[in-house]
Formats: sequence, C-alpha cells, structure tokens
Amino acid sequence: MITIKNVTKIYGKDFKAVDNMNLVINDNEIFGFLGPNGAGKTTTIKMICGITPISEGEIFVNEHSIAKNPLEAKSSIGYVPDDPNILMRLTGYEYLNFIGSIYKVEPFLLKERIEKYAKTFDLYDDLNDRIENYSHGMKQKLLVIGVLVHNPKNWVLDEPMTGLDPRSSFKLKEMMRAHADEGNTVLFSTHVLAVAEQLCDRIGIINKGKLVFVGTVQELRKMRQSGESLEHIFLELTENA
Amino acid sequence: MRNIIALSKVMLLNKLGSLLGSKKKKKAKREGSSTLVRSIIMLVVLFLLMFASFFFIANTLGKLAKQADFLLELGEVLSLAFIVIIILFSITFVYSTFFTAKDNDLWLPMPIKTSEIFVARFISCMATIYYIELVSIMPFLLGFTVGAKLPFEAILGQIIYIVFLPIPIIAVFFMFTLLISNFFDFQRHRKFFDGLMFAIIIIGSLSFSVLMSIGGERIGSLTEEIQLAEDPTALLEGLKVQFSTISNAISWSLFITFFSRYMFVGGLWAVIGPLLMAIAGILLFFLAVLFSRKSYTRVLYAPSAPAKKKSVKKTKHKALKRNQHPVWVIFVRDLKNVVRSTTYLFNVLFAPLIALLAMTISMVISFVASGDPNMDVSNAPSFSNMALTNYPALTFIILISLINFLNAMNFTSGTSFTREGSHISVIKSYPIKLRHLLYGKLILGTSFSAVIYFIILLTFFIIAGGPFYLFVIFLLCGIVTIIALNYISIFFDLRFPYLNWTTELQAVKQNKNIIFNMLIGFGVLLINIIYLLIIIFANLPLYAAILMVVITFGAIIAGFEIHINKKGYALLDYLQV
Repeated sequence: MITIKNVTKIYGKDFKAVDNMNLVINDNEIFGFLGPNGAGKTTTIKMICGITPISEGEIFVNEHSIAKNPLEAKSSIGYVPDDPNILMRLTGYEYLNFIGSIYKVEPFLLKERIEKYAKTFDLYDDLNDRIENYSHGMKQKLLVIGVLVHNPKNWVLDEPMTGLDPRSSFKLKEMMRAHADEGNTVLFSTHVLAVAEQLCDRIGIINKGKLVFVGTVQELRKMRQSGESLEHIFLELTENA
Repeated sequence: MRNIIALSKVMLLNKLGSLLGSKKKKKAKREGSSTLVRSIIMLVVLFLLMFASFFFIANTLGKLAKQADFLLELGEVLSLAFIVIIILFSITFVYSTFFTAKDNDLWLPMPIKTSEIFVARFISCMATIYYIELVSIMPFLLGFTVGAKLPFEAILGQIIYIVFLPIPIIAVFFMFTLLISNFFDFQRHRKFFDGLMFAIIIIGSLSFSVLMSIGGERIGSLTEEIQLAEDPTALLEGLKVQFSTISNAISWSLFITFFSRYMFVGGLWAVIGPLLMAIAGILLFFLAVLFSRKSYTRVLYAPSAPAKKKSVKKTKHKALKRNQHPVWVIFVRDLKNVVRSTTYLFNVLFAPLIALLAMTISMVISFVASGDPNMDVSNAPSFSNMALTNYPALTFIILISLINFLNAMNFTSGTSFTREGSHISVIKSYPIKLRHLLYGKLILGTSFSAVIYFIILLTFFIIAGGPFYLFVIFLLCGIVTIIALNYISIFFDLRFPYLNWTTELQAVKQNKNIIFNMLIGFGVLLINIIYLLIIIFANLPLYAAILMVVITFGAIIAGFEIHINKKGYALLDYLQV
C-alpha cells in the first residue's frame, strides 16, 4: 500500500511541481497515473521511490515513511524508470546479479527467477551481452526483469510499456494483474489511455501538479455524464484545470 | 549560408551548455540561476588562475629573450610548442566532431547539404580550439609581448595568428582523416579507434612533457647561464633541436612556424608571416570543403551504432554463490563501469599512472641532461639511504606529498556520482545504506592510489634498504591521507555533481570537479610544504611528523564521518537529474 499525505514538491523558490497531493493506492490494486507532459507524474513517482526529496507532507510505503525509514520503504518497491539507459557497461546478467545482491535475494532463488523471467521476456540468450548493445526495448525488458527478480510488494513503473514489443507488453500487463491479485500494489504512469482503461482498477489524472480526478474509468464517465470518449474527457480535464 | 549559421549556432550552444553545466530550461526555472552563476564564477576564477601563471612565466621569458637578443630563435621554439598543443587537441576534436559524432541522425533528415554540415562542424571545432588558445596561448603571448616590449606589428601578427591558426590544422587533419576513412570504418571499429586516439594523445602529451622538462631544465638555469655564456644563442640552439624532434614528426608544421616566428620579434614579417598563414589556411579550408562534397556524405551515413554485433556467448551464466555485501557490490559495479570504458580508463583511472610515468621519464632525462656527476643513477641507493637515515621526517613528508600529488590526478572519486549520470535516480531507489554507497565508491579511488603508493614506497625502501616497520608506518600513514583526500573529492562530487551529460567524454572533460580535485591535491601539497618548513625549522623527529599527518588527515576523515551521521540520507538530495 502506498499512502501520499498532503505532499507538495517545490522546485526553486516557488515552482510547485506537485501541489498538496493526497492519495492512497491500496493493495490488490493497479493504479494508473495519467497526465500531460510535465504534469508531475514522474516527480510523484520519484518522491514515492525516495529519489526526489519531498518539500511538504509525507509518503508511506507499507506504512514506512520514505523520508524517515527509506531503507525499509525502498526494500518493498520495485522501480522501473522512464529512461532505460542504465549501467551500460554491465552485461544483463551482471546487472541482475547486482540487483539480487542489493535486494538480498537468495542466490538459488535469484538464478531461478532470472531464468524464468528472462525466458518469459525473450531475453535469456542476450544476458551475456553488454547493456550498451541492447535495443531500447531490450533495456526496458531488463529493467522490468530487474524488478521481478526481487519480487517487491509494490511495483512503481514509470511508462513501462514504452519500447516493449506487443508480446512483452501483453505479458507485462498480465504480470501486473497477477501481482495485484496476489494482494500487492501496482502503480504505473502512462500516456496510453487505452492501456489505463483496460488495465487499471483506478486511475489518477494529474495536471499542473494537482490531482484533478481519482477513481475508476466508469466513475469518470459517469461524472461527465456524456458519451464522450475517454480521450475527450481527458483532454477536457487537463485543459481546464 | 542561413543553414550554416543556424547549425553552427545550435552546435555551439550545445557545447557551451555542456561546458557551463546549464540545465534544461524547465529545470533552470525550478532551481533558479544560481547554478549557472556559480559555474560561470568558477570558470572565470580558473581562467584567471591559468592566465596569471602563463602570463608571468611568459613575461619573464620575454624579458630574458630580449636581454640576450634571441627573440627570433625562441619565437621559433614557442611557435612550434603552440602548434604541437593545437595539433594534439585538433586530432581528437576532428575525429570526434567530424567522424564519430552521434548527432548525424539529427541533421540527415533535414534539408541541409553535406558541405553545410561540414562547415558548421568546422566552426564548432574552431570555437573549441579558440577556447584552448584563450586559456593557454593567449596569456602566454600577452605575457611575452609585455615582457619583451614587442612593437605594434608583432601584436597585430599575433592576433592574426591566433584567429587563423586553427583553420589550416583542422582542414589538414580533416582531409587526412577523411582519406583514412576510405580504408577503415571508424564507426564499426569505434572502440579500437577511440583507444588509438587516446594512445596518440597520451604518447603526444608524454613526449611534450618530456620536451618541456628538458626545456624547463634549460630555461630554469637560463638567467645564470646567460650571464656566464659567451654565446647565449647556443643555448637556445640546443633547446630548438630538442623541440624539433616533434617538428620532424609533423614536418608540415615547420611551414607554419616559418610564418609565425617573426611575431615574437616585430618588423614587417611579423604581419606578413601570419597573413600568409591565414591565406594558406583559407585555401586549405576551401580544399577541405571540396573534399567534403566528394566523400563526407559517406561518413555521415555510416551507422552510429556498431554495424556488426559481436556474437554473444550462449547462456553460460555465472550464478552468485552467496549474497555479496553492498559495499563490495557497489565497488565491483563501479570498477567494471570504469575499466570497460576507454574514456574513463584513460581519463579517470590511469591519469596518475601517466603522470608518474611522465615524472619518472622527465626526472631521468633531467638528470642526464644536467651532466652533473653527482646525479648518477648508481648513486640512488646511497642517496636514498642517507635521506631515510639522516632525514626520516623530511623523507616521510616528501613521500606523502608525492602520493598526494598523484592522487590529485586520480579522478575516480572526484567523478563518483557524476559517472552515474541519469542513472543516479535508479541508484537512489535502491534500499542501500548511504554509508555503504559512499564506502563502495570510496574504495575504488582509494585502492588505486594506495596501490600506486605501495609500488613507489616499496621501490624506495628496496633501493634505500629501510627497515620493514618503517615501511608499514609510511604505508599506513599514506593510506590515511589518500582516504581523506578521496573523501573530500567524493563529497564535492556529491555536492556539485554533473549528471546531465550525454557522452562519457563530457562527464570527464566538461566536469569542473576534476579541476577541483586537482586544486585539493595542490592545496594539500601546500600543507605538506608547511609541514616541511616546521620540521626543518623546529628540527622535529619522525614521530612528530607522523603525528602531524595522522592528526590532520584523521581529523578530515572524522569530520566527514560526523557529517554523514548528522545529515544521513539527506546528503543524496543534491543528486538530482
């Protein structure tokens, strides 16, 4: 479970990237973060993961404050960044071993999971190659596997489908669903409204740092009381907020 | 023409932005302009420091040359030295700007001619060389001109020289590299050629430092010798011959030397010479444009990624036997990151080794060149033993100073966080203790300097025949100083990281922390000089010297440990991409 309480992020003197956000992302739930570019999605995700300090308010991950108990909170988070260009000089396998050591995954379990997920995402034969030689999609897959191998309770994925081929994208969506159904939390950001509509239990629309809507897609449609497409509703919400 | 101006503007702005470490507009808006102002102030201070040192050296040299009336001979030597500097930089700039730039894909879809891309890159390359001239050649020329009280025409000639010198050099290197590119695919064998470029630069720099040390040796005793020598120009003849070693390798540079030497004297040729060089440069530029029209398109269309992917060993993975300690994991990951990158390996890790090599070669040559019978290599054991037995405290401080100096060239700790680049976000999301992260990074820089120190110390003790316990004490004290210095470097990089780079070369070359790293080293050398003076004047024994060093550097380490305890995770807040 991820709880965001009165969180504000201020850059410089007065630029509010996130403005007094309150949100609870429950267990058993896939929560989708939607919003235009620069709305504050990535900043919020980075605050949840302890990458960016919080200016005001507090974030709890499984009841551990990310500011006060960062290690405990981070141990239960699996984060996929929006930029997959990471640790380019390592091989895929070295990267996954590194993740295993950092998250203290039992070696036999780590080996088993690496094999399982690398095969699932069709990356097994490339694990001995350096990451710098991977394509964008392969890097993205490796990052996703990096999250899966330490099996965290909370998945925080920043635009995880970007660059994935349809098969991998489908598998990831299946895994997200399965993970949430096992009593865990999945939070992800996306620009693809169809994915949000198809996958999310609830969505949050953020615009200019403020949450302008939180609820199910059905609730959103009901609220607008119109037969408009989700795309139209989204555009209206983010235009006038 | 409009295309060229627009392209050049973009390329130059991109370069300037990287140089100043300026952030994206949105980020600058968020964080205010303080970072940019700080960067500019830092650059100005550094520029002034370099300017002042070059100016004063050249000023003294100018006065001496005028006094002994050998302006023309010295002018030839200096012209050659300048050309060697510019050539050394041009080789890499031409290679990286014209042949391995990663922005081809950006320009190719645009309605721009190949020759326009070429000219824009030429301008961008020239701007970079102007920057080198601004910090090295210009203050030198200015100091020399003031010292030698050169006439107006010499100044005019120097201005023309400064403005036009990069043109023939870039043009010739471009055409030469373009010719080579017919036989070798730079993009496909990029790693090999990157390594080759570094090797050329290092060999060139070593040769230059050796020649400079010979020159320095001579110039250092010039005042005295001028007074004693009947024919001071004979001295310069020797110097000139040594500098000519480089010129023989690059014979066409003598051509430029011929045009530029008179600007150190005056007269009509002081202007005509550089003017002729400028005309030759412009002609070479147009020739290069012609060449670019013919075959530069082929280079632009070369894929930016290796075309032939290496066959990967089929899955024979090395599974972990047990969980490794986070400090070890961070250290190993960082080590792999450095040793697998040619850029990091040569610029970050090997820099002290190269410095040590240059120092050793220069020292040996200086000994040989001095002709002093006391300076014989066979006297080294007795000399070292005498130093260790009779002056142990002084020897101790000198050895500590040596490793402190070499550590100042080791930029591993000074770029600890910078090397992570945008990946720092992911590192911050790991559940890893701050102390473990810092120690993992500290070990890399510290261990490398410690190994170098161990080798130096062992060699010294074998030659001097000192007792083992003293070797251990010297070693441990040296390691304490290395740890302290690496702590300072890491914390500075943590406080002022340069994370928004796109290439590893930018992370190293455009990183102001590297200069800070060197300044720390030189600052510590000053402290060591104070210790030396205290030891000499107060006649302190060895244990007092050891105590002074351990207390000072131990206090630095303790200070940082307290700081880590106090600030904790908040220290990582400075690392924002």
